[in-house]
Amino acid sequence: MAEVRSAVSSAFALPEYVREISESHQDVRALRLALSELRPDSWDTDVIQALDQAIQPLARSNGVRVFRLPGKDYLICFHRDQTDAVRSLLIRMRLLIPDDPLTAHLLNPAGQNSPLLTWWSLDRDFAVLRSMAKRIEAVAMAKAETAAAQSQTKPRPDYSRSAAFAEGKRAETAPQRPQGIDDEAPDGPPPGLIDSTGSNRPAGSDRQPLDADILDRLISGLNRADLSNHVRLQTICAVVGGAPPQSLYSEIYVSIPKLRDTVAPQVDLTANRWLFQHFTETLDRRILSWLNHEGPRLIRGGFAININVGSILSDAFLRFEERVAAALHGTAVLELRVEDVFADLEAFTFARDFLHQRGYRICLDSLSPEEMALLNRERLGVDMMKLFWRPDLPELLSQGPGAELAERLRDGEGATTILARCDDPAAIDLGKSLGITMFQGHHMDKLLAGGGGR
Amino acid sequence: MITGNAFLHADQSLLDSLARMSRSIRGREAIYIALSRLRPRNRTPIRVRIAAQLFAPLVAGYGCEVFILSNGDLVVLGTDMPPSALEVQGERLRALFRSDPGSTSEDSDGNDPFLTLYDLQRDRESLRLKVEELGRDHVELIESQRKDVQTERAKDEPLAPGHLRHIGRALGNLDPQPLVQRQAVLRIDEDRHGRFQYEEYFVAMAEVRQACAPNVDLFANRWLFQDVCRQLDPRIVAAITQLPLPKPPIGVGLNLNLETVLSPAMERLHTALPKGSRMTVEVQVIDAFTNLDRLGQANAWLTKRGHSLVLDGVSPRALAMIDPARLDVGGLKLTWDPDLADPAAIWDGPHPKALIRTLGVDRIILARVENETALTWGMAQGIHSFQGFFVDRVIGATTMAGCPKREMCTLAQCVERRRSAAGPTRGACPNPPHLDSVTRLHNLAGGLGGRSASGNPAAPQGGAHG
Repeated sequence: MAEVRSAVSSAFALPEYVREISESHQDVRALRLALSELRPDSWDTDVIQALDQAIQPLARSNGVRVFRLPGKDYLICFHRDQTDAVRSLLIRMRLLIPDDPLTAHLLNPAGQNSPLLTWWSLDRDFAVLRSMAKRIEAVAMAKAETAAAQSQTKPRPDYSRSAAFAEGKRAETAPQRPQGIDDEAPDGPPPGLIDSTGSNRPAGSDRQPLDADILDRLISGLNRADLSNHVRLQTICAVVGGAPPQSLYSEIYVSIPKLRDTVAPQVDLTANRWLFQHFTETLDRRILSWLNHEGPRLIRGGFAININVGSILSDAFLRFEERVAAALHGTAVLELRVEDVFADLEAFTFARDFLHQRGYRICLDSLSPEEMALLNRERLGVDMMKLFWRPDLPELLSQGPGAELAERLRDGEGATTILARCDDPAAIDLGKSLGITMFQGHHMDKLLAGGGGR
Repeated sequence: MITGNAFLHADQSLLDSLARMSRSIRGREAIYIALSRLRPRNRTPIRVRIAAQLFAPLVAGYGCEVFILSNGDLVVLGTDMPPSALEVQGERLRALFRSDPGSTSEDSDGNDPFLTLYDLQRDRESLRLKVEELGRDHVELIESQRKDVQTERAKDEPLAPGHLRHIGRALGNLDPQPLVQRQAVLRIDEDRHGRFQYEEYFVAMAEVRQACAPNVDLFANRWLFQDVCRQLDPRIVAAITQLPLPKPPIGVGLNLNLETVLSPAMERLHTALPKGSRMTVEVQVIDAFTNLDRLGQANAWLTKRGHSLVLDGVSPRALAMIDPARLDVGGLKLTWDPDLADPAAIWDGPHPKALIRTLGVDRIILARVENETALTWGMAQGIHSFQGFFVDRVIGATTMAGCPKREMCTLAQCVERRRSAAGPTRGACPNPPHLDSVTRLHNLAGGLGGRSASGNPAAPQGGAHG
């Protein structure tokens, strides 16, 4: 899809284009498509993606140039011969945008301005384009300066106290608790392990911290990205006694670092927990809508997806649910994050009961032993809890509150626990000793492939 | 499977279906589900659609038709169904809404007001009349509500990442001091004497919104809202240090993000407090569970300095799920819910009463005490700490009873001025030295609610500010 993405240019390419055509813009027209004027509820991710796809073929044909302006607008520059092609695109777009009164303007004759469309003839209005390019250049300069200034002067947050709390091997400088930041695993590392050990990549401090502007761009990028390139599957399997592992179902997930590398390689996503939560929620919804198109084939044999309560209580999920019901012949597991569950317990309870009635299992995802020790699975009414393996887990579970958790696991909770991120045979040994029968991770992948078993 | 046109909307389609079946009515039945009896939170369009989706197996298996009526009620029509199939599915739907009193299976007349089964061979006419009546009563109402919602929506944009930079700038320029309010937490001992445990200082987000982002619905996105709060915190902390704070033993309460508690600003606040002052920091459940690793750190940091951490806004239903005994906090604020005192209320798991006992009554503050029932219920459970409008009114009435200028004010004015920590509202009090004079209340025995400023309030006694 790389060549597809390059068909629509960034706004920052506009100044170059303006210089390019400064001598040769006879019979060239420009059209600003002010999609930002549409009602926000028109901005379903499906719609954004559909519009972006619709515009691609034109952007690659007959010298037409399409620029993506800030705020979801497009600028299309084309020779007057292409006017009909542009108009057919507008007519197509009208069908793609649901129920917005402004879309009627898409059918207006060429040259007729409206809140949605502004036409210029560059023979006459080239100066308009030039000043637009200048503004964009100024913004780019300012951004670069701000970024440079920030990277030099912005103090790192003071987490020194967290170090006092963090025992043993927990990292001092990285108290973030995001999900899915490891390169390969479907879920994030345990709290406290993100930047230092959760990833092989350089620590987050090399990157620009996630802020509102970056988040905005990231989400636009996410809406345009082809998720097919980022979706991964990992099997959850049962291991009982000496029997070979049995595949139970597959978790469908997006590798956040890979996605980050595509849409925002220099960004430390975990620098702001609240913005990161918003990002994961956006991602979950995006995957849901992607699954609506691509899913049935993937989910047939049983699946797990990450989702949030807000998305379960949405039309997108009801649509997905209808399709799943038709295609599914296996376990359907929805994985929720603990912070999302507790953000609105009433909504969670309702969603949980609805899901149970429809036959789904609910798994509480990405738990550290400390978190799991705090939670009561039965009272939460969830079916499974996913505990993350880490090398110091055996030690943690042998003393203090960890020992209580180990006792609970041996007393029966092990049967409803998945030990995930098992990269090491030691994880299986520990799991078995705690009565855990469900495992996930690279080591299990190898065993299933008949490779690195013991 | 429910397809687009199986989800027939509205009353007329149902009436048409009923009319069409006049010739072939054998084996036809219907179930009527009165979702409109539920609390507003359970009758949002999406919850109504979810309720309808529960009938998907009957739509797929038996060609049932599901109608969402104009008032949000559901009707499901079936033909030649297995015995009780509609009823069973109806009961499953009831289970989904079981904690909502609107789903009760028996009203005072012994009828089931939530689910009604119709054998259409016999009852078609009565279903038709019911639906027709509903059309007359509701169409106008629904339309006007829909318009209200639309106007409301058009006015406010939902909070999005794009707004945050602007809001951040606006917060930077905001002087929060005039917006700071306070509300006392009252500790009532075994002898029914009350004293101020602490004054909670806070800023109403509605007012912040008015000042910084009047056209943005800050509450539309919970994560981004938290980020706004995070940005606001340092401003509030700075504003608090400029206010005259109560002297010990009355403490100071603050609503903060955990990130703020672990920031250098907190050290400065600790130093700025009156000597020996105890601070109670209240953190939201969403913050605690997003940052569980920080919760223990924050608690340890505060405890070490003689302060405490309280989990704020815990609803009685959340109590069972949170299992707060396992959480690293000093206490929690339980939000009053009338269901607590309702013997018919349905609770999943143990009753909150039992959970409160397990947790220890001394760790609980009953908040949003709006009326005497709440206070009486709390005291009966052995809870000692209370906060809410009812408590404010008792304090206000006691303040007025001892005020020589009481004739100049109403109780509501006195309460409002006391709540204001600074700014013009407070300045309107005709007798400012007296406004903070009450910090103890005596003889809080029965009949609390009936007392007013001109009545016979609990005897006031000059407190720390007296």
